[in-house]
Amino acid sequence: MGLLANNIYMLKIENLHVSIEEKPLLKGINLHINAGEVHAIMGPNGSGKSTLSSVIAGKKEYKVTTGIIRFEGEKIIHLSPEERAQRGIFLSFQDPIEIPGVSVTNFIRTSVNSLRKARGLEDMPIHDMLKTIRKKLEIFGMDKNFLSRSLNEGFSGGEKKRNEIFQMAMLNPKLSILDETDSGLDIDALRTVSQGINAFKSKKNAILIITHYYRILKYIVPDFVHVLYRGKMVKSGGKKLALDIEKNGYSWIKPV
Amino acid sequence: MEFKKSIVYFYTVKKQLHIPIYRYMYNLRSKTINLFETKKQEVKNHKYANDLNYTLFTTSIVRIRKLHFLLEDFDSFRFVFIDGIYHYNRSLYKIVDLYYERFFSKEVAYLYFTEGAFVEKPIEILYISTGACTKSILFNTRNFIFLGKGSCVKIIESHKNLSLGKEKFSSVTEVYMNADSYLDFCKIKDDRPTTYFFDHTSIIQDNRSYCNINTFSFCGVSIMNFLSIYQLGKEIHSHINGLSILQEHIIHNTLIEHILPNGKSRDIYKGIFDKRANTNFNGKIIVLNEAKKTNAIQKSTNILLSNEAKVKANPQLEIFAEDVKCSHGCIVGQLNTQEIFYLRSRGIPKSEAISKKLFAFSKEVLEWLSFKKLKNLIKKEINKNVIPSRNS
Repeated sequence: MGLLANNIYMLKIENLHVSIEEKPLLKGINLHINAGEVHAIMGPNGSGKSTLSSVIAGKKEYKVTTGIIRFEGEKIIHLSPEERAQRGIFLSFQDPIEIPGVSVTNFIRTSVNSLRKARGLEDMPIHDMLKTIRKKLEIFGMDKNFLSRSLNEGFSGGEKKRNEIFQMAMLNPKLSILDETDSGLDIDALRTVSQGINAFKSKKNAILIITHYYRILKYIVPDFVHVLYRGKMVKSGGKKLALDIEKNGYSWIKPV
Repeated sequence: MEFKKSIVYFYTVKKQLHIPIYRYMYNLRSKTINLFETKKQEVKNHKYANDLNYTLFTTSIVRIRKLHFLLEDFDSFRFVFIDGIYHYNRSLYKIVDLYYERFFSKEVAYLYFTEGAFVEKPIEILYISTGACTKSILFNTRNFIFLGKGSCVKIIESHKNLSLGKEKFSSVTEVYMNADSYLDFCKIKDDRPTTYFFDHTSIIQDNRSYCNINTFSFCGVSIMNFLSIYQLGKEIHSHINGLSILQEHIIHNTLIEHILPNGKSRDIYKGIFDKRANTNFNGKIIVLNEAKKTNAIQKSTNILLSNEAKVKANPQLEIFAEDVKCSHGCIVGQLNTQEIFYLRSRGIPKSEAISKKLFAFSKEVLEWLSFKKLKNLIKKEINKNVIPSRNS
């Protein structure tokens, strides 16, 4: 790691243009993320925040017209979502979809084993798996019954978000993109989830937080804050920028 | 139809279980053969039969030495019919009372369960066609099942075709369930893609009896399932489930007739169709005017995996009674790409994600299945039939 880390960014986005059905959504995004960093992207509704996260995770509907996305030096635009996940990219969905009939345990097990298989490891023994699952559940203050339920089916907004973070903790990705994880969480839930994310954070992984509000950034302190406006990065700065936005709204930032 | 009526009439009027089976069968057989002669022309004009020339009986007797590869490892009582002839040494057990009588088919599986009989292991009826005859063969396989009062039975019926010819299985099953009896019946149509299946099943249920019929259709040129249930008593439960995973032609015709009060029925058919599959579902529930407090559900849910697959669903209700609770409906759709993306974004490969989703889709049917080992078979079937074509 040490040898590589000096020059190669974990995630490097250069001049990314994305459109859907001929309608441009992102117009030239540049973003560099190193291991061990926490970045936050803020912006008003419809500025392209979720588009950016979906494109990094590999959603097919969006068309990348120009630009390069590199993950640990490797171009990833042509990779499928599962290949990206196997390389260590994780997207916590803004609105996780309900999948009836697939239980949480079953899902986690398949997912963890798929990732292990891609790394050439054997399947994790069920006993160990359950042990880890229980440990992680405790961290996020979740109920055991949750494991036997169908994935996201009938989950409350808060439960869905906790489930996403719980998956992140289980899969141990290198880059975690948290798309509006704070929305739908009450103050106490936000605190437990943030504590979980902070416990997960290390020098080897990076976190990209996408949010409207400052409140999650109070718990998870970002190293960099970027403002996305109409498909462009209009401003970047330290954590102070987030505070300014909280005070004055987005209107004071003029597009460059 | 006349023939079926005569059987139903015979049973409902006399309603005694000690039927002088030999004489009765003899009469019935000669009657049916006459009927077939007159109706032969009709059969030949049928859409899926006109280009086929069938012989009715095979003459040669074939010995199969290595049969075990065909047999799934079920812990069951097994009856094996090879080219329509019962093979005692292939079958693992002989239980209860078993009669064979020459009928239109060569030999008949006649299962008679005495009052209070409880059969712990499932009974497996396996029909094998060896294709020893050069012409295509029309196999008429018949099952007669009589359940005595309070008996409890699980049955699996399956067909295997060893030849490459266009074999045709025409299977007729008749079940008479006495009061308080329990039947778990599983039909598996999982054979070569050149085989035709015609399946007629009729079930007559008495007071407080419970039946759970599962029909699995996985492979065949043309599969037709006709299933009718007559609830001739009170407080009867009938559950019929179907799961079809295929690329060819299939017809499901189901009929449930509620005649007396407090009956319950649940009719759930699920289908996963690929390539040029062409399917029809005709479900009918009839609630006659004495059948108050009936609770009936009918549902047909289908997933189409290709642009050419076709589904025609026709769920029907006919209600003549008051104070009943009935529902019917059908859904036809495609795989949700959002769901697949969600699974894939967690590192699960596309094929596995689809298989997982489809298995979850069929879960509603599978949860009624009491044979654990069959579930694995079905999982395999989903992977075998659906996934290869997705990847290409």
